[in-house]
Amino acid sequence: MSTLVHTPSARPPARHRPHLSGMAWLTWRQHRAAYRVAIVATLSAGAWMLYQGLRWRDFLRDAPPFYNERYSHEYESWYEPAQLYTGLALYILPLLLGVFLGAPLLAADRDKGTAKLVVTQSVSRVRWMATRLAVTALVVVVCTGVLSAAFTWWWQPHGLEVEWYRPERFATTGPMPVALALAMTLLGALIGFAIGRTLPAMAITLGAGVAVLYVSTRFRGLLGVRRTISGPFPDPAVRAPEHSAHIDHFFTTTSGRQVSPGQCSTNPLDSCLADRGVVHSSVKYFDLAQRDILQWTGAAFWTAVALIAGALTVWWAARRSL
Amino acid sequence: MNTIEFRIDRRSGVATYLQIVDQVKQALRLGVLIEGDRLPTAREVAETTAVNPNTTLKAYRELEREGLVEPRPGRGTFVLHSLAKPAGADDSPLRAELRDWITRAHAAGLQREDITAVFTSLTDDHYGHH
Amino acid sequence: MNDTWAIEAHGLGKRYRRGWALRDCSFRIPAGRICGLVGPNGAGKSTLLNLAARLRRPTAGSLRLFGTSISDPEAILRMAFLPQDKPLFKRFTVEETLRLGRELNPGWDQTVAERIVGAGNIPLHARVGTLSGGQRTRVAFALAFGKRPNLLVLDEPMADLDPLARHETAATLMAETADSGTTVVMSSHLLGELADMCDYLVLLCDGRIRLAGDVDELLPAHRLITGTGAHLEPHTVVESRTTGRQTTALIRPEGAIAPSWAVAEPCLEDVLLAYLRAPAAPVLMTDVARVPEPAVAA
Repeated sequence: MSTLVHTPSARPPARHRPHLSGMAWLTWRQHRAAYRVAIVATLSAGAWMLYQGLRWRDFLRDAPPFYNERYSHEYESWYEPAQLYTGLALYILPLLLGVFLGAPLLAADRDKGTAKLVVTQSVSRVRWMATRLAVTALVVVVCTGVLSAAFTWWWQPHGLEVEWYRPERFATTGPMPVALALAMTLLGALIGFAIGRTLPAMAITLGAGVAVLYVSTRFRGLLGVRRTISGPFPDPAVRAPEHSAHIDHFFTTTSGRQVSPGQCSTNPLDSCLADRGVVHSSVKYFDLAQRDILQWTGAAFWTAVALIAGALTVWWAARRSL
Repeated sequence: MNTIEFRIDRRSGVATYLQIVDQVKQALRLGVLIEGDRLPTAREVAETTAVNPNTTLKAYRELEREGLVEPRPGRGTFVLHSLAKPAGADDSPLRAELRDWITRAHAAGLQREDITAVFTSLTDDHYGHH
Repeated sequence: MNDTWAIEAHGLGKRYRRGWALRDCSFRIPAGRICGLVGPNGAGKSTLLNLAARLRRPTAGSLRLFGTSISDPEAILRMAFLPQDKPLFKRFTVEETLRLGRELNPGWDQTVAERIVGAGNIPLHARVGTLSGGQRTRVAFALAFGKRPNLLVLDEPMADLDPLARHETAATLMAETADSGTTVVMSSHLLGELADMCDYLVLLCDGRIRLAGDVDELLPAHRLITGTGAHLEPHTVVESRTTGRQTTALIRPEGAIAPSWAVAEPCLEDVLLAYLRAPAAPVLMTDVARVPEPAVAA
């Protein structure tokens, strides 16, 4: 969209580096503090995860195949919490990007009147807004992509498949964090553009981001079709494979009536169910092989939300009073 | 180099372009401006007085109409004629006579305002009202 | 493209939720003029300027800049706008601010921009946020003139400046206009300073045009008369006041003025103040300012 421009200024550029021009230059210059923080934080966190990933690999190679107190202690005191808290950090990262990058992106411009300055130059409003959203989206995609890849790589040898459906793991690996961050950033930008004041925009974006996280967590079961295994009861073979998630058991009697396991308070469960005439059981679950399809479907949904928010902002920017 | 700098009196009630015309004529009479001098450009006048360049150009057109200056395209506006009259110069007999008269008027008790009033009244009688 | 008329408005109106800010405005401003836009607060001056800068969209009527309707994004290419608060990026250096102009405007003139900044002895590496009000105005002017606009629209350009900065700003504005032939439209409350700067005038009251035309035509159309007579007919009275036996009036003479009146030529400030005090005074638009009736469709 922008081409290299030879400036008439007498002073040559001191350093050789990628030369931005036009609206892209202005976007970078205007928001460079935020972009730089995002990039530096990504590089530091990425390098740290890379280092941790190497240590994790050494740990797995050296750990004896049997129980060992020293290794067990090291796992519980370091690797387990490290994975948990890094995962939680990545889980709220899209929220942070929405609140601190997305919301102020356009709000400050209206707050300070500089939107008037830019739209009365010779660039079209569509280009003005599209460039800013595109550059910001690029920064967000690159940063979250790197972090997601680093986190995924860290736990690749062992750990990722365990409880992959847990919210802070499902939303922090593969394409999910990228799509969620993109959606929250562009929603934040739209909110900021609508409100035109930085702090209220950040507050509302925080609320919207929490809602996005809730929706993405609460309804992730709708992203795919659960598999079913059924057979006569009791049969130990009728159970979900290892690393399956979102498991539901159904028990039916000869008459086809469903019996809920909740109705059984006596132990053992199996004999209680048999007493109530259960002859058939089925299990619904997502297995590990479905993880990718669920994550990519979810990512596609949130990317679509991001694109709609972005398109709405551009469309509105071309029309509204400033 | 600028040959003349205009002073615009915002309280005088005289139109700005007339003030410029009058100041150029005054300068021509006093010999501050002589034939061949370049008048300041509209830009130069604007830089010192914040006067609308169209106003300066209007004043120059008026001076041109009176045959006092001439625009030379791309170079500026130049003085064609000086209005300095030898009879009005510093060492002329007419001036000396008037100085003499003023001394006597002062001795007779006339103040500055009285002298100006007499002078204006007589010049009005002679040349008609402005 | 039309180079005769910098601004042509026909039936122009803008309604906000609280009502009409601008209503049924038809007037034009010829190219090359320096036009003062005068009116009390809330008269619709800023609204009119914002419409011209494409920051707002008219509710009714049409507005053309050099023949291009403001509904066309191209209209912005030939004009520069300086809002009242002169927004600039405070963290940018002066040099970066000029680069903004260069990057975003194909017709950018770096020489003009640097000359305007340089004349104020403003260091190029200074951050805009550290500059004084006068210096910031100068940088904003550099940005505006660097675009090489055919029309420069200024909203209260000198409102927040000290007297020295005000004079410098006015001088810069007039000097740069002299070279470029830029048409200027500026709103202002400083009637005295407008008199020196403007050769064209548009006066707004309550969202409507009260007075529009060349100052050289508007002023001679008025007389300031003083006397003891009570009969002001057949003249059009803009404003009249009676103190004791004496009546003072600003009129538009229709035929000879009775010799019992003492007649004076009003200055611009007299005329403007009279119209501002008497919002019901009859409208006066000179032929130049009047839009021909069979108007071009928007």
